[in-house]
Amino acid sequence: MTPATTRGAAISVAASLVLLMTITGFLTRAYYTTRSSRAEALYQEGMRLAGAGHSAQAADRFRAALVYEHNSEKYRLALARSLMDLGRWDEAETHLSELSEDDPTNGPINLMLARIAGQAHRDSDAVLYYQRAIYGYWPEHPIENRTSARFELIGIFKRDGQPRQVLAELLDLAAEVPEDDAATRRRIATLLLTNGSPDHAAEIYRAVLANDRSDGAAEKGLGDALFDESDFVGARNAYRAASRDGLEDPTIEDRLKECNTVLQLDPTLVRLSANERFDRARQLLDLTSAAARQCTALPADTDAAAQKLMQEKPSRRRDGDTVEMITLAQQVWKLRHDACAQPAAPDEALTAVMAKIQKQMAATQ
Amino acid sequence: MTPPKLKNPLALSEQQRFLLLAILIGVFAGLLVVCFHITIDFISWYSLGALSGKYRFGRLIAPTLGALAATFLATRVFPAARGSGVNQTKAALYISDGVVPTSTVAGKFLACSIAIGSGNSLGPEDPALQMGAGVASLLGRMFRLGRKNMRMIAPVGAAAGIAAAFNTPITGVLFVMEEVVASWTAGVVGSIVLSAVSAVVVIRWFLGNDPLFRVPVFELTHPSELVVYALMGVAGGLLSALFIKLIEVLRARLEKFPRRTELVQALCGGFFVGLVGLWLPEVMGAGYDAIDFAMHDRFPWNLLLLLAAAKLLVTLLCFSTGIPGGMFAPALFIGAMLGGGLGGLAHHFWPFPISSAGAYVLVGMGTFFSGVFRAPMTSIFMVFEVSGSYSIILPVMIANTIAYFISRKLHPEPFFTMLAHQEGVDLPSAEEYRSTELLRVEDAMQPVPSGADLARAPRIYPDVPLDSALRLLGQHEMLRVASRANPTEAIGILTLEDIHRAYGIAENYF
Repeated sequence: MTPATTRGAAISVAASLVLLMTITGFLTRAYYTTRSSRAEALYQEGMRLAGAGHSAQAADRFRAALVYEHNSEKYRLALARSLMDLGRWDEAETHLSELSEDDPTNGPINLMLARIAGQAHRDSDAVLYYQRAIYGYWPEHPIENRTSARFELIGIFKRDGQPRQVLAELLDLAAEVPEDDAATRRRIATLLLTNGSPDHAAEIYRAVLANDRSDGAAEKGLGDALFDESDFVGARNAYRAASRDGLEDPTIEDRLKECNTVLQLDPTLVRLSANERFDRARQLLDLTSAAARQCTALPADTDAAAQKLMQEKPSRRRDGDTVEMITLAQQVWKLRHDACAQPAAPDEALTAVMAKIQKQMAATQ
Repeated sequence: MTPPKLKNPLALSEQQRFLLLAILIGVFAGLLVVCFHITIDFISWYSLGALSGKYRFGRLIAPTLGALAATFLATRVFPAARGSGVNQTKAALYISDGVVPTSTVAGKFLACSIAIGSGNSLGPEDPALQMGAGVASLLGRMFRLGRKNMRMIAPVGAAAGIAAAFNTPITGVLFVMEEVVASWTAGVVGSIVLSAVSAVVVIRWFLGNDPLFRVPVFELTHPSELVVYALMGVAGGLLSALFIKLIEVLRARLEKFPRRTELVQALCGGFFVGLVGLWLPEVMGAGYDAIDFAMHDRFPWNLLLLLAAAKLLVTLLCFSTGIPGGMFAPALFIGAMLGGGLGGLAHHFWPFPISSAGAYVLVGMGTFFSGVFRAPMTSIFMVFEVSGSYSIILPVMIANTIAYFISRKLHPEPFFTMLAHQEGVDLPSAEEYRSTELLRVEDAMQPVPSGADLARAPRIYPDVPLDSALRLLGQHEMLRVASRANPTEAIGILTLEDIHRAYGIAENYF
């Protein structure tokens, strides 16, 4: 082969190479542009359809968008959402698991996986995903989304009957929520209250009220919490404050009435005269005995002791009798509790007072 | 008096030029394959609309018209582009001294991109391989390579083409060495590797580093799973033998029809693909998206098995009716779906813990490939290269080797050899070449006769092929066979007569 032919071939090849590279470059650019624009158009159409409630068509568009852009997290997430809307949990989970493999700390993905696992009653998986969602990263509104995820996690613990976990999560949440987010803090306090932690609930309501003294909902919540803590005076004050601040809650009046009834019955209140305390104790014994007799016969010795105390002359009142009556009322109440089913319409005032007495006795023992 | 010419210190030997040319071939093949991929995708987008439900009717029309147009191009405009790329590359190597007509490149590019892009069940790898071979042949002719190197240029281009199509350099190299070039030298291997690597670099430069599939993490959940993988190999072997047989029979029947019916046949093939695609769009085109979905457990096991059966059927029709395109992608698809389906089935019945169906899709992918193309090493390394997981090697080796042996037993004639025979060409089969028993000195030598004078007889070792011995016997009457452990000691002699006798005895081997 002569140098001239070699040179000629080399020039031809070089020119062809440049030409082919240029064509390929242009084609590649056009390819990526077209691919992205077609995928985005399908995604937007899918979002519009999803917004209009046509989840099946939306899923179809998102799926088509993914054919163009396999690796788009945005499209796959949208598809998973549509599939969840359609109740196609397994398919949605497959997409989300795939996304989670690539991005295990992604908050939204883990939250959706948690919901799917929760829906399928795979609660241990759900808890794991919720925790990943809570501690993962959120591209938008991280605090709100983490809070929402934690509330859902609390729901799972509650469903599983794990009160300790519920309280632990609520207390963690209470520590994380910003002070100015009164609505969320009230929600946390309400949950603490319904999950048997009125003291923590009262603390949060007080903190909310420290920021805004006229927060009627917080005052009402505080009233409920104090009532559960057997601080009936405090509860009445809180209800009154809520009513004064114009909270439109039809239950407030009932609660106030209940407070007053309890306060009229409670023999353990401070600043009662000895006579008043004796009368209240006797009334309490009378009420508890009557409640017990409705479903069970009292043991002979208990019944005799109760009758004897009830027939004491007021002139012979002694502090010892008052205490004895309260103790006996407590025993009768316990007897009734063990022997009888919960009545359809319990005497709430009596129940509240007896609960307070029980707490005080437990504290002194 | 003219001064004597000094040798240019920068002048390259032919072998060095060949290696440099291999890089250039890789770059050209890579660029072509990029354009080929893009063209297929563009045609697919505009004809099938990403297979969304919105364009359902297009699924019926596109493959029908696509098949017609592509077959018209391949039969009427670019007749040289017809047939299997592997066989054409072999023909260039063994028959036409490395010449692949340039029109083949254009013909394959246009016809196959239309056929595959419009949804016909065929793959882009075989055309890419042939385009690579065509470009290589053109460059070889431009640089006027010697006959020996020119013959080897087509496989070098083929390796670049297939490596670029799969985006896997090792697979490209191995396939060409295993299927196209039966025997190779260090120079040939070097050229093939260089071209494959440079093609993949170009592909990744333009289309990114994304692998062919997003492969899930693979792990062997329980040792008993190997039994399931072995059963998968059995299924893959049986199905691949059946597939080759069906293609053989159907092609033979269709060839009996007059030539003017070619377009009608292709039209029917395309229509059938569209008809199946109305309900199972996953079977349309190369099907890599569906394999990817299956790897991520998107399909239930019964749908996977249905897809395997449907794909087998539509591929059989597309290929047999002469629609241009390759068979690699459909083979991977069928194997993947079969593997996934069996894996999913095992989930229900296997008494031990078992991996996800995605793992079976990955392993299954190679079984059918190994059974059809009889390239077990390529199939093993392809799955390994695609998955990037070392732990997958054991199940893949078991499944693919079993599939290979079963298919070979049931249908001894390899797929490409069968195609070549049907096209009236007798090309050497790499598989047969490997299976052929090579006669060596030890097969022909006789004991040293007493009193023989071996002083002048040249030494030869017993493991040397008889062909090499024959060259020495051109100058000497007798050869002294010596042990490698003790080269001075004669353990036998070899004469021309012994060689004749050995070849005579071995006649029945060939």
